[in-house]
Amino acid sequence: MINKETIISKDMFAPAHIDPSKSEKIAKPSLNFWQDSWLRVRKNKGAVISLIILAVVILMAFVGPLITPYEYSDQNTKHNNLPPRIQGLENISWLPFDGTLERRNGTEYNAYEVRKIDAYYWFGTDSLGRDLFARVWKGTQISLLIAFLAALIDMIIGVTYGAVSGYLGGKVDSFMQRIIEILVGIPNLIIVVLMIMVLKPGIIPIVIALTITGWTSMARVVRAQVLKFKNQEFVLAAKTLGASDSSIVFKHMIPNMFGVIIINTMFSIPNAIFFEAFLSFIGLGLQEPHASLGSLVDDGFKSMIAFPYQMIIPSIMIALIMVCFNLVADGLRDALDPKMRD
Amino acid sequence: MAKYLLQRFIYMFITLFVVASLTFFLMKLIPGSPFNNFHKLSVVQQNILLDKYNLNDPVPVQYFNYMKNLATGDLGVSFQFNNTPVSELLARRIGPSAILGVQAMIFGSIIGIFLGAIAALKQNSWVDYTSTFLAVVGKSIPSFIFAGLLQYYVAVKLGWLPVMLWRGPEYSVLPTIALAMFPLSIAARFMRTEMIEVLGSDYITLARAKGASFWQISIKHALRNALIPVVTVLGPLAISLMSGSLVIEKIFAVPGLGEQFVKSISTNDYPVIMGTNLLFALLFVVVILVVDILYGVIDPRIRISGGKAK
Repeated sequence: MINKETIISKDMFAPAHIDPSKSEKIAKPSLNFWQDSWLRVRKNKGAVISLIILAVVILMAFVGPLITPYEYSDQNTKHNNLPPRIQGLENISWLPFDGTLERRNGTEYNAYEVRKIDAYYWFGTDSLGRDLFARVWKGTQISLLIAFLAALIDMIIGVTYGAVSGYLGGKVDSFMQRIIEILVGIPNLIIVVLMIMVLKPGIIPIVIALTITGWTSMARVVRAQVLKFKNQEFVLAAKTLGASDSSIVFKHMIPNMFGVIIINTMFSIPNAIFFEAFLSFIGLGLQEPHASLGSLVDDGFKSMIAFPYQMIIPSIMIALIMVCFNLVADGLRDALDPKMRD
Repeated sequence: MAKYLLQRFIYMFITLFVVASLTFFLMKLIPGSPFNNFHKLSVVQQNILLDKYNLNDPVPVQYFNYMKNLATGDLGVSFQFNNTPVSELLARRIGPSAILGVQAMIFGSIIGIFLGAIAALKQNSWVDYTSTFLAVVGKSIPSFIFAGLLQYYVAVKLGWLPVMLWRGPEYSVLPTIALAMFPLSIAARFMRTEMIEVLGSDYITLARAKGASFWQISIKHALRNALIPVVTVLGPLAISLMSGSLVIEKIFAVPGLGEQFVKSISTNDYPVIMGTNLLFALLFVVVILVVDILYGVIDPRIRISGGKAK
């Protein structure tokens, strides 16, 4: 063992060649905020499927009223209360598209044959003979429009209010927060109902009524974020470089809280859809001949026993949209907000 | 604690004051007259009517009188129901609403907590997926859609339960289920998250190491600790039932506050709308206060000090 001692001489060593360009090499492409979020959202199957369904629904909301030969507001009382009937699908007995209705004694009859009508109403017609296919998609369009508008306005007011309140701090902040506290204390149901009664039902009044109380949660979230960022280095750096207050808030802070803003907006969309439907339901919705999903369900209720399809089809549409929006919002929350992940 | 309570009471008072004032002025802004065929009457007749209801006084005087009456619990008289006092009308209606609300709350929270706990104990099994799916569906779909589908399939098609009206306990089953779906799903969701967190904590590992049985751990250690935060969401849920009850009562023709409210909206019965609004606002602030106080009582980790709940 001792004899085998190897001599380590200096010439056995050579300086390693360090290539600074290689050691600092970034193996994966750098991702911006959106790419990174998309990468994470993509893993959530429920959210992706919901996103696809929503895309189809939104597309149909615009295309749907065009592909049926009937106008959504055209009345044809000779063709009233016809059940759904679709070419091709009418021969498949287990699908509800064969144009049959049930009598009170349980027997079925084909309404189209009995009344000698040669037409196809894909979702049937209502009590005034209006095509429900056109009305359902038109209603979807209006419900979505109201929801997106309300969410957008909530976002604008909420972000501005929250940012101003949090950034200015001190007395202004505490005064602005007291206002929010009082607003939150008032049930939004009351405000919405009162506002609609004063403004008279319509798309814009409904949006206004929804946004009057809707922005508070966004304002609170944004304020908390601004308070968090206010003392961080990047804000100090921006300040040192002479950035103005508004550019610090809107260029430096807001982009850093896109995640929470998007999550909040995504949750306020289904909320607005719900409230719009709710208002239609208690008689404060859009007026005839306009339709929203809520007013269609409400109309359907009036003849639920004889013509259940008039209530069931718009109900399914609301349910589908609400579930999808909630799943997408959940998926986004998990992807964008690392704290919320469970 | 006393200071905190005082502060909360002041806030409650301000909120109610704002709601009352807002209701009054918005009602004044509504175009049209509360009387039928008012424009067909002669000016003298119009003035007699307006005088009778003190509507000829200047608005500030009307406002002052309105506030003074409110302070004594006088909500005015209904335009539609032969001048019945609004407070009497509301008192008659509060019973069914309260029964429905309490039943829905108990049913929803118990089933929800059970589902959430099972889902957490059997994480990533089919039980978990089913309960998560139920929670998402229950949270997303508006209660009136549930009500409509339940009414059609269970009552009309199968004929198991009465379709509508309010004549006995069996009449309250469907409205209760429809109303309970939202609290049920929120409680289930919350319970699952809390339970998973508790199950991962050190004291559960310790209990397991000491040889406690599965059921002992789940019920005695995990469930009880997970319940604390869940109780805190029950208050907001109770409030959410209020708007739900409006439509549910309308659908099932339950003679409660909500049904009255919807009816008075369609008949422009302003005093009843105002009265119901104020009652809802009062319930709302009281429930929030009770819940906030309960937080501190249930969970000693939440301390109320210096006027701020942390």
